[in-house]
Parts: sequence; structure tokens; C-alpha cells
Amino acid sequence: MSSIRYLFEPRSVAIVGASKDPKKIGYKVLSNLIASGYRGAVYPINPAGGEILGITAYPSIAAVPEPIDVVCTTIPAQAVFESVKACADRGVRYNLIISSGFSEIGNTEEEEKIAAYARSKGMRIVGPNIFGVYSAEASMDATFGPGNILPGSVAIITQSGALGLAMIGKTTVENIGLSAIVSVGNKCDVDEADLLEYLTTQERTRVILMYIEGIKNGPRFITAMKEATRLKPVVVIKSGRSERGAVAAASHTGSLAGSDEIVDAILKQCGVLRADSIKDAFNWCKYLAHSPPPTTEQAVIITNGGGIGVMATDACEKYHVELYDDGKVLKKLFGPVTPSFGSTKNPIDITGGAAGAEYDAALSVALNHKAIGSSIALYCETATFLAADLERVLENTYRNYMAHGKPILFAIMGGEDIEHAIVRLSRKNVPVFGDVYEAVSCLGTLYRYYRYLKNRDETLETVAFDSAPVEAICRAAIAQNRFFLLAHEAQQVMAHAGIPVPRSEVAHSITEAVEKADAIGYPVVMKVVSRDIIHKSDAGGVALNLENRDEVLDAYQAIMQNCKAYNPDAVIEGVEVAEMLVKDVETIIGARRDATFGPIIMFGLGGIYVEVMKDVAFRALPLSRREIIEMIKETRSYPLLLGVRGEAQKDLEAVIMNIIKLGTLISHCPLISDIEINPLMVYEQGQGAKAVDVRILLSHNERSSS
Amino acid sequence: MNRLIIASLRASAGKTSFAVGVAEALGKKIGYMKPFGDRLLYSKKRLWDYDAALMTHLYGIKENPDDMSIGFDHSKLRYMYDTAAIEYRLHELAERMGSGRDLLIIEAGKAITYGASIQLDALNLARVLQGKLVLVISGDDDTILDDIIFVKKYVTMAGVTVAGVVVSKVRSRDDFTATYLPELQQSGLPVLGVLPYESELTYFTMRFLADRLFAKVLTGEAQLDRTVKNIFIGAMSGNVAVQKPLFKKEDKLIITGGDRSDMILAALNHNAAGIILTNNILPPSNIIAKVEQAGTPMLLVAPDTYQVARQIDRLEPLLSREDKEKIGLLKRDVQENIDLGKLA
Repeated sequence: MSSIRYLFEPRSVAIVGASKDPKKIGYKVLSNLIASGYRGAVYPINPAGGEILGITAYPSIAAVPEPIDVVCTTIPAQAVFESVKACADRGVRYNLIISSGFSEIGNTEEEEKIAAYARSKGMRIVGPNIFGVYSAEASMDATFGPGNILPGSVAIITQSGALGLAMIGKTTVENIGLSAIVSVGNKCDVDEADLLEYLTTQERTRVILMYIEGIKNGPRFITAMKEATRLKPVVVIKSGRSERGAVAAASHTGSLAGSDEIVDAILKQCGVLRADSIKDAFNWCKYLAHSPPPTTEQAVIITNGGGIGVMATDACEKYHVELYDDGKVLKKLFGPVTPSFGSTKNPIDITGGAAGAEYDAALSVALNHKAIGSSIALYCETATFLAADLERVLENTYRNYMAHGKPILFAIMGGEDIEHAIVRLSRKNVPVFGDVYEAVSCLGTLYRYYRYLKNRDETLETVAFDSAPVEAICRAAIAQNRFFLLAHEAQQVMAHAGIPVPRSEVAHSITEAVEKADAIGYPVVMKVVSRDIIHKSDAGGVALNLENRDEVLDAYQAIMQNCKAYNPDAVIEGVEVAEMLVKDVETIIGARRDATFGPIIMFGLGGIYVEVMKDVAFRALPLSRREIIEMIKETRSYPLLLGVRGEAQKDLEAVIMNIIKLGTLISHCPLISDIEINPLMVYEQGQGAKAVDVRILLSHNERSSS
Repeated sequence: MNRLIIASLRASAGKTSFAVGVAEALGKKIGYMKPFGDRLLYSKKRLWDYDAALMTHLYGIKENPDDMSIGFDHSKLRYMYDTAAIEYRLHELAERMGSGRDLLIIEAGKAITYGASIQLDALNLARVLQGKLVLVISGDDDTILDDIIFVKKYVTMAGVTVAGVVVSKVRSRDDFTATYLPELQQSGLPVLGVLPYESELTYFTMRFLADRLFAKVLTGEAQLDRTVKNIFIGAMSGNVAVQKPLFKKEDKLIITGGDRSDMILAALNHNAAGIILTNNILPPSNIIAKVEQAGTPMLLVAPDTYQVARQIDRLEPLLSREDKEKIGLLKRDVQENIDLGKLA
């Protein structure tokens, strides 16, 4: 039995702080545990001994005669350490510290002391500051929640205790059955990744819902999430902003990478379905838990009203649900079941006169046609089709679709009878909604997950790379107390990483500038090289398209004078003279070491307006080729790479290869904190891409180790 | 054709202002050159001096401002010319720029020693081009006195025709004239006149700031000629800022971050002459739309607020051809205070 299983399927549970007082948490946890029908041994722990709720209480953990898998700690914070110590010494496997008063109020030291002792004895801790654990597998409600949790197939992991308790109540009202609910609280030991290890492989759980405020170990979180979504859908509500992400960084990648953008991108990369509201999350979970996967990408809408049909079409566009649009086939299929004044164009309008038989006929056609992957049935209340009949038809249709393994959902609108019908059908898990957008959003989520699984690619892309020469360049810069590389150093790094750069050399005098320009060949560009000037164009330190010696001479003077005026204290090391590249599609690729998620990569539209346009996408490393392509496609400027207005397609393969090389570079060089290539000039297919300007920042925390 | 070499001991003494004042006051047909340029402008691979462009515009000079300077950087001049070649270029330039003019104004480098290593210092210009040297001296009263006495005692003026000294930017002209002028006149260096300090000459326009800071103009392009007389750093909340006396003043520039929507709106409500957004942070589009609607120039720059404030602090307020009032003021000051007879 894997260790985490003891948390969800313990053979025995002790409640430290069990009480006879119904107002105490120790009473509520014990009473829920008994009421939920837990089949293992229960040991109330109270110094007074005696009986609590008819069960023998023990004065201490040490006094319990049998092994204990899980302890629920419900005593005041100041007594927790001693209790944890006793549990750990006694060989307890999991301690759910329900008590609060630790790091959430600044008492980090005590929390760390508890975690360290438990770790030294091999005991795992959930919490502190949690409401407990519910596991349907063990019929165990070890929480101080409202009780009467409905067993089912949705597992909830929540960082917020209060919200978690509210969710328990809400799931009962919404008839959402739970396989487990765990609050992780301060996460001093057990975190989401540990819990996912169990829930991912547990058969009973079909969907996992997580409420997350902060992530502590990003790379571990990513691995656990990718593994979970491989097997079942994961819906996440993520709130809060990390302080670390808000720290302004000197690179565009840094300033564009707000914490939420990163989290959002990484959740997407992991195939997680991110919900903005609890309502959406519950709707999705319930639907995903009971719906089969779509059989094809294309859906059909059956409606008795034109207006609601148009709304559903809009909603399909918004939630990326593709509609089946072969007019000839639709006419052939739905013609016989549609009145002559209706429409067989998707949405199929079976008109306001449609009653149960007409709906049944049209939806059966959709069910039996292989090219149609899912159905959306819409109904506006009419006098010809009464609510009582509607309820029966909808339920039968739903059962029929489930039996054939094809998704369907319903959006119905009308008066009181319709509202009551929605409530009754929902209790039977029939996916019926009072709003078209709510309904389509569920189907859109199902498709999103379906597409993720279909396109999933686990082959991680990397290239051979020797990091030693790059490390040497970085260490030489750090030895000079410099935490970024100068242009020529950055170009040397690019050369080692195999990323093509324009030919360039640094001139230390005007004579050298002319000589180097002559050697490289005209036209050339010139850029100031100075540790004190990061944004060269803003300082007037760049001159482009210099076509002869005279222009090089003028540009040299201009760069020197501008830079001296921009920052009189700047040490100007020279001027870089480089091959002038032909302009094409300017992209940006960046990589940085995120405090939470480790190395991340960015791709987007490059050039000087990168921060204005903000057309970028992020991913965490390592990446598969499919993930790289998805990242590129996510940007609004992706069509530029495909070629617009008669232009030829650009070298997408070169972009992908450069992203792989950049990813390999930052992954292998811990001394580098940020790399940014802007622009990465992308040429026509087969002609490659070149890194025009490269900025590399070094990690400050490597100072002592260098 | 008369040649006047205008030089100064220190940078930003008021040479160009004096040159404009003289040109205006004399009303003659003038030519202009600045052999060793220092107020460099570089755009579309053309390089010219700001002052040369100004004089070209003001006095209808047909020659290209690009041709009025031999160079801008020591390294380039050293690379291209030896002593003989520099002298040749100076003569050739003076001939061309002075041709058909009553007066050729030759502006020397930013300080009296500037360009000495490449033969382009003020005294060598006066010797080679045989013009009358005018030394513009400014600073506090003691500095002015020290500078003039120093020049007289230690600077060899052999081969140089000295027209005299112009004392410029004097805060209290009457006091200075009464207290120090007699002593200066005894020094042996002729004093051509004392020019008062004019605060109006120190103001910037938003266009000037946009050019010098390499800023992106986000809004109010048509209003870039607005004058900035006061600068306010918006480092506090908008509510607090509006209570500060400086914030209530007219013609103020607000420097703040693009994420400070409250400060931007406060600036709009209090008729700011312009706004500079630092750190390259773009405000939300509805805020940009509001500023655009108000017509207020709003500039976006990459450096942080401290760097931008330092940059602006270091900027010299330069005259522009649109500054009719300032030019009128310079004319009047020169007419009223300078012995023009010694220059003609």
C-alpha cells in the first residue's frame, strides 16, 4: 500500500482533542466520523478518558493499544508540538493538524519546528489550519464540516478552509457526489502533488477540482498535474497573486511575466481546465464526471427557437465548440424530422410547434450519425410541449445518449415549471441548464480536455549542449561584479547554444569601427557596448543600416555623444559593429528562471513594441514539440509566421529549434536567470532565423558560489 | 565680412543665446558655423548640431546644418585630420559660410579648452580665422570675477583679437554692476555688457523632452509645444498629490509610472502641461483614451522615475525656432545691455 493511501483509506483514526462538548471541533470531527459510517478503529484522545459519543476515550496517544494510521489534531496551537511529537514517536503515519495559529498568522517558526520533527520520524502532516479530510473510499468524514457528504466521483483539494466547508454544503445542494475532499491549509508538508498521486489513480475519482491560492514547488506541481490530466480532467480555481512574480525585472520577459500569466500558461500546458468562478467549476465538474468523451470534434444544435439558436451559436464560438456544417448531409439527416418552415442548417430549428416526439426524432438522428460528436438541445417554453413531458423526454434522451457514449446537454428557458424541471433533472445528474452560455461552456470544457488528450505529446525536446564554456563566460562576468553579459559575451553564449546570430565584432575606437565594418561588409549596424546602458535604443546607442565609411564615422560619434549625454557616468566599453540583417518577421523568445516554476520560456511578437503589444505566450520547461507549437499558435501574431498578404510562409521549424536550444541553455546553466532574444528575425521557410539582439542576465544568488 | 568667435570658459554659459541676441540686435545678414559640434542630433543617418539647425532656421541660411560642423567627437576628428588639414577645413568652412554675409558668427566648443587636442579650441579658432573673440562668462558673482581675472592673468591671448567679455545670466544686474563692474573694468579685459538672468529661457517644451528622452509619444502629439515650467514627481497617491502646492501650479510636468492611473487622472484634472510615464509601463487603454481626448501630451520612456528626473535635470533648455518670445527677450537684453559698437 503506497504511503498516501493511508491518508484516504486509514485502518484507524485518532482524534486528539476529542470532546463531549458539541461546540468543540474535537466533538464535530468525531461525530462526523461516526455518522459517515467509517469502518476502521476510532480512538478519541482526551486526558479525562471515559467515553465520548459512546466510544472509549484514551488519555494519550501513547495509551492507544493498536497502531494508528491517521490522527486529527484539534487542540490549541500552543499544545500542538508536544502532541505531534507524541504521535510521531508512536509511529502515526498521517497527522491532520486542524488547529490554526501557525504560519497563516506569522507563527512560521512553530510550524517549521513541527514539520521538522514529524519529518525526522517519518510522519506526514496535512495542514496546519485545515478542516480535515473526507474520503468516500473509507466512508470517512474526518472534517468539522456540515456532514452528510454525498459520495460520488468528484475529488476536491482546497487551500481555503472556509471555502472548502462552503463547497461541501454546495455540493450537497447541487447533487455533486464527492470521492474525497481535502484541505491543504498551510501546506507545511503534504501538498497538492502528494494528494494528486492518490486521486489520479483512484478509480472512484473521475474529476479533480482544486482551489489554489499559491504554489510552493512548481516543478513538482507541474509533473503531478501532467500525470493527473493524462488520466482524468482537473478543474482549477486559482486566485491570489504571488509577490515574487510582481518583482520588476530588467528584461521584457520578466516584466511581461506577471505571476498570473505564468500560472495560467502552465495550467494550460498541463491540460488543466481553469475556471474563474465556483459556479463554472461546479458545472464543469458535474458534467465532466458524468459525460463520455465526444466522438468527433463537431456538435449539432437542436432548437425550437431561432433566437436561442443564434445565442448558442455565439456561445459555441466563444467556447471553441465546432459546429457540424455540411449542409447537404444536414438536410438529408434532419429534413425528414424538421417542418418545411424550419431550418436544417445547424442550429437545426424544429420550430416552436415541436413537442416530445419531434425532439426525440431530431436528437435520435444526431445520436445515430457518426460525424456528429455531441448534441446541444435547446428549448424555449411553448404551449405545445409541456414541462412534465419535457422532463421525461430530456431524461430519456440523456440516458439514451449515455448508453451510446455520446455527450449531450440541454438549455431550457421558461417559467416556474421549467425552473422546477431544471432542479429535478439536475438532481438526477441530467445536464440541464437555464442558460445557454452555461451549457455550452460545459461542452467547451469537455472539448478542451478532449483536444488536450488527443494532442498530448510526452516526447520532451532537448539538444546536446556543453554548458562549461557558457558557465565560464558567466563566471567571468560575475567576477567583475556584473550580473548581465555584454553584447559580445551574449553572442558567444548564443554560438555555444547553436542559436544563429549576425556576424559582429566589438570596436574599441573609431579606427577599429571602420576596419571592422569594412571586414564585415556593408550595410552594418552599430550598438554601444556598456554595462551601464541596458536599453541601448533608449540611450541613442544604436545606428542602423550604415552603408559606407562616412556613415560609420557619423554613427560612431552619435553613439558616443548620445550615450555620454544619457548617462555621463556610463563606462563605454566599445561599439559593436554587426552585419545588418534584412528585415522580416520580428519575434521574441525569452527564457527565465521563475521563483516558483523554475525555467520558463516565452514566445511572441518581437520588436520595440513588445511591451505595448504584449502578444506573448509562456510555458514551463521541459517542453514537448507539441507544447512549443501550441505556445506559438497561442499568439495573435501566429498568422504572420504562416505568411499574410501574399507573403511566403516563414521558417517555423527554425523558431521551434531556437526555442528548444534556448530552453536547453537555461535548463543547463543555473548561473543564467534571464535570456531574451529580441528580435529573433524569422525568414522564409528554409532560410532560418537569426537572433538580432540578445540580453542575458545572471543570477544574483550565484554570487557567493562563484 | 566681420567674424565673431563666441566662446565661454564653461559649458552652458549662454553662447547660443548671446549669438541669437546679437544677430537679432544687429539685424545684419549673418552666417553661422560651429566647427566642433556638441549638441548633436542624429537621425536617418544625418548628423548635425542643434544650434546650427536653429540658426539656419532663424536667419534663412541656405547652407545645410550638416555642413556647419567639422565633427562632434574627438576620435573622429583625430582619425580624419591632422593640424594642417583642420586649419584647411576651418578656412574652407568660414569662406563658405561667410560668403555674401555681413557677419559670420563662429560658435566655439562648450568650454574654452574643449577641442584643444584637435586644434578646435576657442583661442585657436580665433587665431586661425582671425575673428574677434567674445568670452561669455556666467555663474555666481564670485565665479564670474574669478574667471575673468584668471583669463586676464594666465591665458595667453597672443595672436587673438579680444572684443571683450559678456557677463551673462546675472541674477541681480544692478547690484552686480554697482559692486563688481568697476573692478572688472580695471582688469584690462573690456566688458561688453552684463546680461540679466531670464527665467523664461530655462523652460522646456514637451517636444524637446520627447526628443531628448527618446520617448514614445502616446497622446497629444498636436500639443507638444506646450511649455513646462514646473516638474512634479508623482510618487504618492493622486489624492495626496493634489494637495501639494507644486501640483496646483500651472504648466507642470508630471513624472509617474504608467500603472498610476490615479496620478494620470489627477494630472488631467489639474491641467498638467504634460505627463511622462516611466518604466515603459503602458496605462490601461481607457486611461490613454481619456488623455488623448484631453489633448495632453503623454510620453512613455524606459528608464525609472529617478533616472528620468536625473536626465531632465541634466538637460540644457535649448532655444527653438518657435520660441518667438524668448528670441524677442534676447534681442532686447542685448540691445539694452551690450556695447554693440565693439562687435560690429
